[in-house]
Amino acid sequence: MSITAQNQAQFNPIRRSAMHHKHLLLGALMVERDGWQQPAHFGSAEAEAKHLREALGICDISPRTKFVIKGDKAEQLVSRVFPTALIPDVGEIIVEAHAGGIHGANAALCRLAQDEIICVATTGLATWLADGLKDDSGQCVHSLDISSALAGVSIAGPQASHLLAMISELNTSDAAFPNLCCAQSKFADIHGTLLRIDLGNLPNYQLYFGREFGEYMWDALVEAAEVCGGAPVGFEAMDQLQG
Amino acid sequence: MAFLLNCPNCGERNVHEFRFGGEATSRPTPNSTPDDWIRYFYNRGNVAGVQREWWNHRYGCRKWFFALRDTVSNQIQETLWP
Amino acid sequence: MAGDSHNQRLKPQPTELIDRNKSLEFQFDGRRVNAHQGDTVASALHAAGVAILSRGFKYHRPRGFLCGAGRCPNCLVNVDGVPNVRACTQQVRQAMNVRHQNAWPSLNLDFLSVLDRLQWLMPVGFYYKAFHRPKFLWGLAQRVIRRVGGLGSVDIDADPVTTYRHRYHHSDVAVVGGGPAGLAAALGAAEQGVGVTLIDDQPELGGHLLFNSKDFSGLPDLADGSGPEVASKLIQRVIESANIEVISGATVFAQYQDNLLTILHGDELVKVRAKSVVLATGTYEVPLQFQNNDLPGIMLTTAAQRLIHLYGVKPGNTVVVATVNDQAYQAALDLLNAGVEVAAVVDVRPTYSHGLEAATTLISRGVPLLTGHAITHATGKKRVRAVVVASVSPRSPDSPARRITCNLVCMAGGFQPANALLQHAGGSLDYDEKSGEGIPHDLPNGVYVAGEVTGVHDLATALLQGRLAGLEAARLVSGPGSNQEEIGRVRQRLNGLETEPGIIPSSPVSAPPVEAPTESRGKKNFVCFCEDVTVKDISQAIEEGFEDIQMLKRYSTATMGPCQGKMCLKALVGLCAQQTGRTIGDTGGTTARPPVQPVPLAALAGPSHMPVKRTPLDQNHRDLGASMVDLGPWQRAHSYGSPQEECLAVRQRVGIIDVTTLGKLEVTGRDAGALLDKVYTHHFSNLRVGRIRYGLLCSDNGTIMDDGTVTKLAEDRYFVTTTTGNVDLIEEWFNWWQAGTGSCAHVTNVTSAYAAVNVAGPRARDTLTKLTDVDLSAQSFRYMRSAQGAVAGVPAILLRIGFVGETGWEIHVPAEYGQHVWETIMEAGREFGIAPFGLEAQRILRLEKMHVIVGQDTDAASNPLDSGMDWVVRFDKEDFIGREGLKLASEQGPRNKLVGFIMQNWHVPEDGVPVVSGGKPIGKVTSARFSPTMNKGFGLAWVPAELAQDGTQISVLVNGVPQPAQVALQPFYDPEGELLRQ
Repeated sequence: MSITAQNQAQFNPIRRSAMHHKHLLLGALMVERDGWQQPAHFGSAEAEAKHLREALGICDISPRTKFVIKGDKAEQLVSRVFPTALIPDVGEIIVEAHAGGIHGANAALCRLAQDEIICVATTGLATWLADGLKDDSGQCVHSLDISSALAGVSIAGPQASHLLAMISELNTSDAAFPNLCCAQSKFADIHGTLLRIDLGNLPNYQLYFGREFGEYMWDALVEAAEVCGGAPVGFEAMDQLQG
Repeated sequence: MAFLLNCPNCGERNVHEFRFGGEATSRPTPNSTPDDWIRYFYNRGNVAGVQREWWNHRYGCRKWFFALRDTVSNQIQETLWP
Repeated sequence: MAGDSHNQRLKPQPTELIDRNKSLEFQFDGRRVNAHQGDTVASALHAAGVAILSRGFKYHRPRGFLCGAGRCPNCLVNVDGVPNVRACTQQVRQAMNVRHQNAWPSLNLDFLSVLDRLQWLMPVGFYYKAFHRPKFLWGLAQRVIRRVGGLGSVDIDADPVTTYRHRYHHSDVAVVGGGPAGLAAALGAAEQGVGVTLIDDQPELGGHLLFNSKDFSGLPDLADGSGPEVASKLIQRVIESANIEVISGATVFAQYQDNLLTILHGDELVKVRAKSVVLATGTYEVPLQFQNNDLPGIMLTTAAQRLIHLYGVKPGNTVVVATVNDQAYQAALDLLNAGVEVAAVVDVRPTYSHGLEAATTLISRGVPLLTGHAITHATGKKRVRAVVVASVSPRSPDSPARRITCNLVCMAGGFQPANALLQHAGGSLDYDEKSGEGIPHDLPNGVYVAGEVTGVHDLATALLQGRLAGLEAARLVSGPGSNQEEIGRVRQRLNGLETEPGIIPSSPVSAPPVEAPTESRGKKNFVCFCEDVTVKDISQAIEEGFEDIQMLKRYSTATMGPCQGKMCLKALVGLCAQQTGRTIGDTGGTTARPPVQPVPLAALAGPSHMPVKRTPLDQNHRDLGASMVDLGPWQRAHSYGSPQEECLAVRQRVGIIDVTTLGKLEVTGRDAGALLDKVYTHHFSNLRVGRIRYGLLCSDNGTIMDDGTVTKLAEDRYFVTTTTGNVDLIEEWFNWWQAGTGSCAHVTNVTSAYAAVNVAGPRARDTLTKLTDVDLSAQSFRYMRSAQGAVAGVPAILLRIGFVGETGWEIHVPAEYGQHVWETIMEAGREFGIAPFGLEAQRILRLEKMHVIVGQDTDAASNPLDSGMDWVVRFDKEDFIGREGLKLASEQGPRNKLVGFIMQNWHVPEDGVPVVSGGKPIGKVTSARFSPTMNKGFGLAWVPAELAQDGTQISVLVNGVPQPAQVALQPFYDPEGELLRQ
């Protein structure tokens, strides 16, 4: 079941992240992108890019698509959708660039447990993934679109792991948590899923957590970011990093 | 209390990431006597020594597993999948 | 001030921490005081000639500089509004405002010092004995004691001065203590390539070496030069090491299981998890016991050494040094070299160690060394003026007691190892009878000790112990086999150290004399400076029967003040042992518990905020003027102005409520149906696609856990709802029953994935028809059915259920569309008079339908048979969780039942009031409200089973008065549920 074009035109539904109101309070320029209201910047994309390079920036990445694949046959189902990708071990991430044959679209396959893989991908891949992950084989495997259930924030920059050390006991040093690692743990007293997917040389951690905690977690991250010399950044600054 | 518990999936974590699930008990079969059932509902071994108990990694992988914990020294001997 | 002399600064000292080029100024009780950068408040005050720093807790006796290291209570002051700051560790900042505590009107003249003359009125434990007869007296006395007691005061209206941060840190090896042993340990471990975190509480590394001018040559490879020189070499190597991280000015105040160290570092609380820990925390020097040993001007020898070497301050003019060990002789020499006249060194031992260099030098400079003597009492009012010294052996005619004039007394009462962290970690102690010190006995895995904390007072030993501990700690990280040879070598050398040429044998240290000489009656002979507990108090307590050290501590309160026994545990144990005729080992010690040093509560709290959950519609509610309420962690709209109006809107027109907080679980898979059959009391595997069924979850003993609905969305796909607070618990419950069984049923928490609203009322259908193509007619979309389609252009799940008893739909849409859908429905319903309704209105509406709220109307002992839900229990099912418990319950029959009731007059009871009969409570009202539909008070209540008949009269307590009510077993509104099904 999907939204028909007619429905869309008649009702013009807008998608907002859990931190929408917080962005407005910070004076963000909200722009529609991929069907979502997203902050382009909070005043100056240049200043934000500087924060990212020198200290850290936090960016709302809630619009990303997230699928969970559970069951004994989780590996097999994922392999069907991503035939050329290796399957990660528990705690590892494999990134598929140009997923679904779409240039610029990427998907990260994160193995959270023996029988649980989450796929975090570009917003626009939702339909392609939903179709690909349908399984009527009757085997023990199940996939579910949990994009709406999780809010996400990207914590990027040289100071990123320092921010994480303020809100979590998880060891995020380079030695214990190098690039392309994933883990679930407690962050600011709530459950969170952490993915490390560096942007070139720049450390980048994606933190996903229950959408209901959006405003609470954003406040905790903004406070911690300030201590580390960082600030909220919009997608324009993040895009600059992706090159 | 902030000791480390080794989740079989995620590795060693602070015990605050977990939820204690109680002493491991065995559920009587459906044709057992009422006394068997009442013992199962309300009695516990509560040993001063190594106890098999349930833990859930609530702030992590959310899976259930067993720990063998010495209730006197609070040392964990082993953690294992059920 | 009497007895003060100004400008007590010495010429620059090689290891001083002050920068004489930077001058600062601060206020002390309105007086301007000069200081240098690096001075502490206490060192600056001492240089300015201030002798009195505080007044004692109980007797308000004047107190002055005692330990100089942040371990005693004497220098607690108020700094810029923050109470209980230790002046001897607080560094001076420009324009600081320092004020005294616990004295009025001033430190020099404190009216409450009259209490010093009333000691006879306040013996040990007086508050247990005095002021209790007649009874009313205690109320009065208590209020006075509370007002007078305490040291600092807090201004509760002031903004918090400091905001604290938290940080986690992981390390291979953590070394606590930056003295010689700690430095050696850090270097030893770092050498092996592991990561080391070195934590020290002083502003500079080096520990006691910084103020120890003794010459340590003899073993060039270990220690060469004076204390500061040895320290400097070690520190240089630490700085140059690539894998040692140093945290200075940081106090480790607790050690928890698995090597978690909590550290207070300025405005930061650091929690370090280390694979292995080396404790090189050193020792505390302790005072001696004699009459008036608490006068200003009487301090520890190390305190005097700190003043001289670290701050360039002259401690006094004429000093008597009293000691039980050799270390004090070096201190006497330091004092002499700083221009202080040393009137005598008084040593309680029959002789000092043979060949003690410092003693020889003192003799050559004409200082009298009085061995076999002790101070019996000190005299003076606001500062010590003289001491009386007598022989410790029975008085001989040719050595009478003598009076020595002095304005400074330095006490070397022995050492108390700083082994609190060791005890936190679960280590045990053995007591050395001679020195009275606790020596580490058993250590838990991963914890190592080195240096003075192990009871050694010899530098070469400390350095070797440190190295050994560092190597062993590193080996635990790198694995067995590594550096095994080196460890063996160091251990061997340590064992044979005494015989090495060039080594000066370590000087024996003995415990301070516990029996005060006979002249003293012990009344002003202080053991515990924090709580003003004297030798006499201890003796009296023991006489009263408090012989066990734990009881003695609690009864006398010794060791229970700000210093937590650092200054007095040793004397307390010694006295107790002596007076109960036991060894120190048999007497034992008190239990060390976190924290080791006082920690502000704000530091423990840190920046933590309460995790708050908000729905996607949160802002909409606020914009509509809703009053929000906490429902556990969730924020929910309580009402939008008038719950009664909102009820009427729902009953007469159409209302919309945000029900996003309801728990939602996706349960899918081959065995999903079987799982639900197992955990619920009803059948679910036979539920047809598109149907909804009410579900009740019970614990295995039959008591109600939770309730909700189960919708079959597709083959092997169930959509389960739970009560708001319980979804995590239920998810865990479902998974627990599957654990280890290989069952294929996947449970996913989708509570936040969906924004959900309930649109209900006679015009609900009209409103929603405008927004969806789904056929909402009564024939096509029946009650307890579901459908999927677009609502307001957004994919939605529609559930036709009726918590509030009107025609209505629960609409679930992806959360990111929540606001859009709410706003669109509000717009569409405008012509029909739609109104938002909140939690309170919902409560009233559901109560009119007698819908039970689990946790409100039921408790942990309720089962479905008592609560009017027998229809939900299917005993024909094979086995389900709760079946046996319910069978047993049904055989017994309920004692109490949950029924509805209607008040017979205008009274409206509150939730929780009792149902009474003959003045006694026989039941309880769980929910009660005023119904705008019926115009009466009504609700649900538990009553004895025999009263649970339609129409039975009961009495409900309203404002303490029994009011008449009638039992009703049918819902008050639309009992047949016709409106629901329209």
